[in-house]
Amino acid sequence: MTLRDPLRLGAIALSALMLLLAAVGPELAPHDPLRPDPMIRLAPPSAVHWFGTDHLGRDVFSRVLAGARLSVGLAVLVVLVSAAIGLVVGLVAGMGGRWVDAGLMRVTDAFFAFPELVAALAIAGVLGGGGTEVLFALAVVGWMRYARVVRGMTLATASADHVALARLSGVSATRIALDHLTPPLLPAMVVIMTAHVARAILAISGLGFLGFGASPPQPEWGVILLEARTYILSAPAYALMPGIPIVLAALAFNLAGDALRDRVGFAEPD
Amino acid sequence: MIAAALRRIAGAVFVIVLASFLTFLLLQLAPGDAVMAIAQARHGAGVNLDAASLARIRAEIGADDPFLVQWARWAWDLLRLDFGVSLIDRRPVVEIMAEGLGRTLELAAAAVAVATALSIPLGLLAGVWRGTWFDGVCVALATLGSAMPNWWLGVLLIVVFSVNLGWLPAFGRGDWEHLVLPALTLGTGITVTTARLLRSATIEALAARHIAAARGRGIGETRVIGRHALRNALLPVLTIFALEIAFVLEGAVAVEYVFGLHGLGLIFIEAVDARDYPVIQAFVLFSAVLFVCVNLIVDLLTLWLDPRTAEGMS
Amino acid sequence: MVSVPLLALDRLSVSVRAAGGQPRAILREACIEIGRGEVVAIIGPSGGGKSTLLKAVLGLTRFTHGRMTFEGDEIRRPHDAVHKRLRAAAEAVFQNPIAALNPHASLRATIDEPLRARGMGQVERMRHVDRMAARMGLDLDLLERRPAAVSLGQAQRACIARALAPRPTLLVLDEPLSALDALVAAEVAALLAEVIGETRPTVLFVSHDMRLVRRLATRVVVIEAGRIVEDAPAHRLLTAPESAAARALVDCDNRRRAALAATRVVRHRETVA
Repeated sequence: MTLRDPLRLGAIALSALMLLLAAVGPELAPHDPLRPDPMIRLAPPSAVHWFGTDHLGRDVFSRVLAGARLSVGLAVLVVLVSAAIGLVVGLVAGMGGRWVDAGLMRVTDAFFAFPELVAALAIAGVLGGGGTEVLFALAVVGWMRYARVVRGMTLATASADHVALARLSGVSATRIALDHLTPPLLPAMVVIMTAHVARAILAISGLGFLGFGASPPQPEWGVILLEARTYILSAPAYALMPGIPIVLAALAFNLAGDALRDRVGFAEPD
Repeated sequence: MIAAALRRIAGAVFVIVLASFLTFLLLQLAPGDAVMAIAQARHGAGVNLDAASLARIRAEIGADDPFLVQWARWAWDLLRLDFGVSLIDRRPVVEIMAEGLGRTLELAAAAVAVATALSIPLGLLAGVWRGTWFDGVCVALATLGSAMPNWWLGVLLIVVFSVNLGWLPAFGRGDWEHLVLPALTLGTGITVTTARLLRSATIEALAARHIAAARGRGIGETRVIGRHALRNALLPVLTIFALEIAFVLEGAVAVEYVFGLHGLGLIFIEAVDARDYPVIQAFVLFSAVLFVCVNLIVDLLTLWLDPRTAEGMS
Repeated sequence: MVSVPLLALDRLSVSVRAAGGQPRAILREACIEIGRGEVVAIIGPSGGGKSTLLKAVLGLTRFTHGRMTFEGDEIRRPHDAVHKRLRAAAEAVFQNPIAALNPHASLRATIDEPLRARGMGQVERMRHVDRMAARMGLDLDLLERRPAAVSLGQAQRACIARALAPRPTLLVLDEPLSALDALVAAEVAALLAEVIGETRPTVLFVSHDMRLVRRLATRVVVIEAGRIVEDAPAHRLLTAPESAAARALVDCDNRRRAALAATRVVRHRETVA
């Protein structure tokens, strides 16, 4: 177990670094991520261009750094929106009585029935691709986990005496939800949210790679890989390198999620 | 137990009906006028469209009926396995899907074979040898694997085996060699999840009380694992196999895209690209129905193997 | 004009259905009329349906048969308009203060909650909470703590302060002392008696603690096996109980008091000698 703790600390640190990159990544880029240079197209990795250059001669490392904003930043947004929707649905289901609960949970089941990538692809594609569209699509497929956990915990808390007393005192449902039911949910929510960032990063880059993400030339990790795909035989480094930050980011948030889960002692029900 | 089974079947049917409603709702997300969008998809964006052809499309999709009527008509057609015709080339969607299904099944079978061959020994042994270096390596690989998008893994495999080593073809369809890399990509992607589940199931099964009792009676370790642990791990294995099938279709989308295999997944991507709504809806709903059915089967098997679960869940 | 009772139960019955089992009657045809300002103790053996009666009144349990009226108006369904009026007029204190306090809120926020729900202004609320807390012997710095950081007795005082702060018409107490150890229970009982004496709500309470019954009750109702077996003014019931259940409880309490008196005499002699 001695090896585990530094690993987890590293994961949390790397997650923090990724969030930082989302904030300031574009400013750190050593070259202009959008400026083409036809003289150095598809150059292999070198001291000047760490990840090489792309088919237009743009610096891939700079594009990867700049891409963090969309890839990680958008993932965080997806997670926040999903968590908010799931929180509301779960609270309403948990507090609304038998029929509301049964109805909302069936709807949740129905949303759960679609494979995440398939549904997100269909929604983002029908909407036409782009940052907002991806956010919408991934929030639509991402809220159900929160709803289930929130609903389960809400049902447990709602039977507590302090909630019955608050109801008796005429405290509004909204206030009960905010003051009594939400605080005990937060640790579990943070655990799910951290792991969800990893999945959202994978999903965003996946949509980008399949051609339904942010529109080029805007750098996003999946979109960069999509552009590189054509040159997989002639410039394999270009086709591979931008995938490394995706794997690193997903790994970091996954491990950070595990670490938090153990810390909080919360096991997500299936 | 029959009652519990019926309840589960009814629940699954209800979820499928709701899912079909959601799938139909997808069309409403289309920006602008759906009729216009279809017309443009069919005739090209720049073309000037006369009122008559717009009216024809309008009548064709029944755009003037109330939403629920449109949904009911669509759902009724689905029940008769009529998924409509492609907006692009006017071929029946069922025909298009059937073509892709064969290729996807080929890939799926190969991938499930890879996944089963990898995950059962890896998951089982990692569970039995919990805490050893072998377990450590397995867990590390699984952790890494779950952070790796399978399409990128596909690219990686192409770079290694096609570009650098030149052993296998990178794209396209032909003899079995063309299936090796896609099946490996999809299969290892599934293995990450299933091996992990199997490992924890094995650990749980070994920790169960009657195993301890068997050990206490002096029954040999191999027999303990073979007879007792395996039986307890059977349920998870069934679950895992079902999950594999459910994952395959989703995973096939990206993998077929990377390797240029013209199966269901690639057909779906092309349909999304061209806004061929009937094809999109057919694939989306198909994947949902498959997922719900697989889950239902697992539920029913669980119920059959372990009737105690009938009370615990509702 | 005949005065209308604040709360009247007419042949009220509650039965529960255990999972998959037959319905079991917890409370059978209870008839009670409670006038304004009465302090009614409900006593009887454990499992007899005392707490269920309180829960039915508060709408925490559905009653299966019978009628319940509040200020003369019948409550037809749980949470109908009349029941809402009853609930708005009522506050309650439960047995376990740890479960009754929101673990994520300070004691101040908890005591403040019913006042805030009634739309009282912030400054007034703050003063009122301070006053109630002081009245219940809670230091002001305790008010900023969470329930986990105070003692059981302090937590129950906070619960009582919370219940009495909005000056409820009806105060319902369900075993308010049973989670507390003897010394703390005696303190809380004394405070409870004082505060009830000051604000004069109608009180309906369940307690095993005969000292609390002696101290608070103007009237005692005895429930055994789901039925009301005796209903009498407190002084009469405590001196001449008629039902077997009441006699058992009163006798037991008399023996305790006699024993206590005897030790007092012994102690007194020891200190004298």
